[in-house]
Amino acid sequence: MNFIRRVLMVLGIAGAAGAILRLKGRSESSTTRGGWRPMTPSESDSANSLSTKK
Amino acid sequence: MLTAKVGVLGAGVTGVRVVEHLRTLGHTNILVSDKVVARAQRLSALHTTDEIRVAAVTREELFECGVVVLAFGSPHAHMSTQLIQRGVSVVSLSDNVSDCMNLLALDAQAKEHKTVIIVGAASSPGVTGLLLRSMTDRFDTIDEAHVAMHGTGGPDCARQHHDALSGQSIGWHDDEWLRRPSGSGRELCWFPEPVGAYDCYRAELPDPVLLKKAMPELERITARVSATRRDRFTARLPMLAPPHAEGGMGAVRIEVRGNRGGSRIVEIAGIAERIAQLAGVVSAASAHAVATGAVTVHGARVLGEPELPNAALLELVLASGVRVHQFVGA
Repeated sequence: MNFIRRVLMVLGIAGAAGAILRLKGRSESSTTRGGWRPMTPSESDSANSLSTKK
Repeated sequence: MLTAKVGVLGAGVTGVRVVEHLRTLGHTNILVSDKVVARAQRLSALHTTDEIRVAAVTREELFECGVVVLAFGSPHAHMSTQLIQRGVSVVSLSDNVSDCMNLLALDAQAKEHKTVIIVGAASSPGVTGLLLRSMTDRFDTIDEAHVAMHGTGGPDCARQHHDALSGQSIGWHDDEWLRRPSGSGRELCWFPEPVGAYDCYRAELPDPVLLKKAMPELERITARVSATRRDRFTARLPMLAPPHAEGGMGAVRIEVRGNRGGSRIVEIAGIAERIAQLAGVVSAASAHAVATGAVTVHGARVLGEPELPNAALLELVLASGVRVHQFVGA
């Protein structure tokens, strides 16, 4: 019985520690300053445009 | 008007958008099939006019089409095999890694039957390949691409998002595939407004595999997806609540790194849009390109490959009202 209790306690502690490690932590911010502006994609292939009319 | 038959398999949130955009692109003969017949019939009733035929059909009747868009939950490989063997080209929206690998494995079969299968023609993967290709002109050489996505489309997409957070992520790193646990590698990613910043994590996403095929010279490719703490905590459990009919506003961004004039350059492009809408537009544009003969190659292809008319496809996507933004000032 004691053995089962110990095993359950160890599993419980390991689970709690795993959950804390998984949920806590700092974000690594890829970009922290700046903003978004409309972008015009490259028109190098514009000669290859698709017709919507037959 | 384009009278060639185009099929759409799946009349859910994304399938509806695919049909809408095929209509916008001038297609007047669209066949729709869904496992729920009433959904296909409702879509048919909504779009059929005197000039436009949107017919609800059985799966077998889709074999009459020149190209079929697969807009249902993965796997798509089995249906794609059947279509290819009957000479029908396929546009797949699958975002499941193993399914995408199976679809890519159909390359020889598709070439043999002179058909094309466009794998991962959705938002991410899909539009990310088009953006990557369009950004190459800004660099002398490109060696890194990092993709992040926020949001989901319909319920199948939400389930895939849930599953992706419990598997093994794949990333390309200096000439080898690295596997890391999904849900690790937190990074705060900024998406175009109104989405803003979200914590994104590694996940079992097919983007690295498909982007590597689109641009083999890339040395590092990663893909991340936004997730909440609850998403990560419950990732290994079954979904606790049924997914929403459609996710809210989503976003996709791709960060490309390379060299220009001897300097190290980073360019970031992003799109804020409902994911199902974006996926519908991209797949409809791809199907349009196949139906009109703009795609002249055969085999399994991914958006961004130099053999595809990527600029023209992106032009069609933008013409539907999707706006691309560039991150500046970092």
